[in-house]
Amino acid sequence: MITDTQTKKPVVKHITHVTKGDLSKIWEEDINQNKTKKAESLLSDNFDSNENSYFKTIPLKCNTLIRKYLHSDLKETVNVNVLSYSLDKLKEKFSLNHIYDEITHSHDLLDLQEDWDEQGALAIDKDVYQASIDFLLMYAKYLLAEKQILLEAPEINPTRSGTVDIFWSTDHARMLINIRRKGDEMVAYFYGDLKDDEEGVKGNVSAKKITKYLASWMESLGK
Amino acid sequence: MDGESREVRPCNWPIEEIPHSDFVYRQVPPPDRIGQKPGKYPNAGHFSLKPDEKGLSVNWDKYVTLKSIFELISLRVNKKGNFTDYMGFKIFKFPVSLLKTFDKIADVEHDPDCRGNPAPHGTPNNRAHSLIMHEDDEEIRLKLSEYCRDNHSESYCDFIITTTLEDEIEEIRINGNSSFYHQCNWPAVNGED
Repeated sequence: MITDTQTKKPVVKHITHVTKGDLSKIWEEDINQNKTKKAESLLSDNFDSNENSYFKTIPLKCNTLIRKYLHSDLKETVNVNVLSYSLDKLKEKFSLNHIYDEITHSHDLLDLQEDWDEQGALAIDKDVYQASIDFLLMYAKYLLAEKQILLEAPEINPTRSGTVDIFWSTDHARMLINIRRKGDEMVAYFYGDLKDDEEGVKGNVSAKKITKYLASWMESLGK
Repeated sequence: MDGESREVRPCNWPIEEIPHSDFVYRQVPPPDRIGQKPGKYPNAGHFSLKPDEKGLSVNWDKYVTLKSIFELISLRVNKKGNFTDYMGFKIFKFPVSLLKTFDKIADVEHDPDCRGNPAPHGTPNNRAHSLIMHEDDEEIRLKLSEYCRDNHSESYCDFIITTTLEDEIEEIRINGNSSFYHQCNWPAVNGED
């Protein structure tokens, strides 16, 4: 909870009509106010759903890093009915907006029929595609929530064998993850390295759960 | 075709050792290219192997030119029964010496593809056909892709399909399986055999 240093009362903002510009201002003021105050809690569901397009209060609580990205994303991308989301969902959506955009773009992979490259490529396996998206979001959310790291948006590409590649190339690191079936399991095969170091990481893990070793390495792929 | 097992057919082309100093070409269709023009390059998925493949198909420059690669593409029939649309393809080349430095690439093997004399309509012969032998390995796929990106001017083969070539292709398509590519008389590019 953020409190005023004099009165010790919780700091809340009363917002009237919410617009794209207002939201930008909120975050801007929030950042400025918290230069001298540590914000540690997360945003919570705290709007008045009975007042339709009005927020009642916006608590000024969230991690500085997350807020920074929220701010920059909101400035450009607020065009949704914000009241259709809880604030937690809103935060998550806008924080990972660049990743959701890439996922939306990747939906075209499901339209690829057999021989889509005229070289005999296999159609993309729908279950593999879904497992790939789930895998990406699972790690992106984990890194944001647990490590306050916002993953760069990867490329999501088809392979000739009907599987899905997730690929990052950042200033410092690169990683290729391929999701494919192994028996009844969905498995993530990965290779990554730091660009100034030839030693890479390589292996495979279940695509259904977080493997901390891989998540730890993926911190190199943060913004 | 991408390296699936085949019957031996009657051309009797010897399987040769590919020298380190030579190059192999890989043809890349439009959906597999990423990046911005003019620096587009094949993504890592382009270098994956299908379950029935033992290696990645390439063409050895001893037996093909860029022009003949486009002619070969144009004579293949896709799964819908139509001639392949060669116009969107781009060619990238790799030094054999580079490929052999990758631990995960076992070899670059000459694998001449003879379908008959003449070969059937839609499946021309290919004396240049060779295979990059690798496991379907993420490290190799990533490095092949990034080689094309980081060395674009050396790897990308800028070839313009002229209207003259389009006319030639139209003509050899009409002639069914009587083209040069359907026969077994296929000398090296420099005229040697």
